[in-house]
Amino acid sequence: MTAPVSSRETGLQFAVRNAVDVCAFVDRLSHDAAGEILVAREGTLARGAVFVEGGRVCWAAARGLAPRLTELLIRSSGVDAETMESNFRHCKLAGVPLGELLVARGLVRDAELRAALLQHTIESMDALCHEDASASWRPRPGGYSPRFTFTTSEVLARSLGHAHRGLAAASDRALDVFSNAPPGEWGAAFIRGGAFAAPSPIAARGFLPETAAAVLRVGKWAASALDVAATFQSEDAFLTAMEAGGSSLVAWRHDQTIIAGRVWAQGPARILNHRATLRRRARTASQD
Amino acid sequence: MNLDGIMEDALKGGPDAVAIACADVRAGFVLGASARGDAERDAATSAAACAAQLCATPRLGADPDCDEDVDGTSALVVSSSWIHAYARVARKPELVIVGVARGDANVALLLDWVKRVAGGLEAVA
Repeated sequence: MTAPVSSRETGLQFAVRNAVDVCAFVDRLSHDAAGEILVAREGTLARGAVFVEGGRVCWAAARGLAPRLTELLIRSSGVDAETMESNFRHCKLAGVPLGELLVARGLVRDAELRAALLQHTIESMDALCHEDASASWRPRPGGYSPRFTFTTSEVLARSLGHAHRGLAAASDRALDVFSNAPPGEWGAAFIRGGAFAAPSPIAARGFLPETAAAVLRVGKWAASALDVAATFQSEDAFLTAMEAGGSSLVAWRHDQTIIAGRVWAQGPARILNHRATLRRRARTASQD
Repeated sequence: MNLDGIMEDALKGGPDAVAIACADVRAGFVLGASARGDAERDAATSAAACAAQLCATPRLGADPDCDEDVDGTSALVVSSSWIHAYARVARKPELVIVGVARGDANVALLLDWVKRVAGGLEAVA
């Protein structure tokens, strides 16, 4: 077991090859920690930073990507560049986050800001993480609005999905079954191999757990249980294991991915029906 | 305890079931089984041998480094060819019952039956 990183620890160097490394570090931070993960490459000055507060990722900034957030906000909200620039100048002077000011002034909706911040964070982390990138932790005061920050599970699935867009899109239909899931249910598509030692999420739906670690654990369970089941069942088998509290873990293979998640009592029956419907549609399509 | 006899009696009441087995997941042994035929017996014993892994779920707590598993209460492995239903004996958690049916059988009925067999075993185990 690794001790949680306290908000007083600084100077600790760790590798940030990909979003898994970033999220693993954030998951180990104590819950009251706020600060930034400064990322450098080959001993150079910081190339950017990931801002963290309360175990959540607030946003990431990478050299060269500063104008990207305003681009994303202009695209999603329809606010013109001139209005955006005047608001930006005001924020600089007042020292307030641009996005939150735009929401307060009714220029951008909550959901649009959240989506733009997440997309910007994912693109920045993609630019920051590298085989030879290393990072250090620097505490600093927090103050981000929690509704515009992200759990590590959300960041991890979106980051890896960004890097594997084709596979993430191909898993969409299988994940539909989690789209209108009740609170507490979630599902994710996992890939294994390549740069990742453990099955890693590339797309997710529903109410994800707070930590990336919990999602990775379910992915690992699913891969291992499906391998075991394949010794006496066919490869396309659906697997569910009921937990003591009334929830179930579910897993099945879908093309090159493993779909796994957590559902309530009616979840397995719903998924079996969904799979049967998809199979029927596929048969009908092949006959046409 | 004559587990082969208990499994044989249980199979008579199984809805569409073709085999049933009981495994001790801590010791790793299949303690008893009953089946309609040899192929079905093999299917049940192979599935029972995997009960320890399939009837366990990861502990998803606050500690990101925790790599422990906990006992699951039951499990299902469903394909178009076969259905395998597992149920743990609550007061003897090392014992897991596995029931097997063809893929077109009713999943819920099979699981319910296996759970009843596990419940009945609690009284005699």
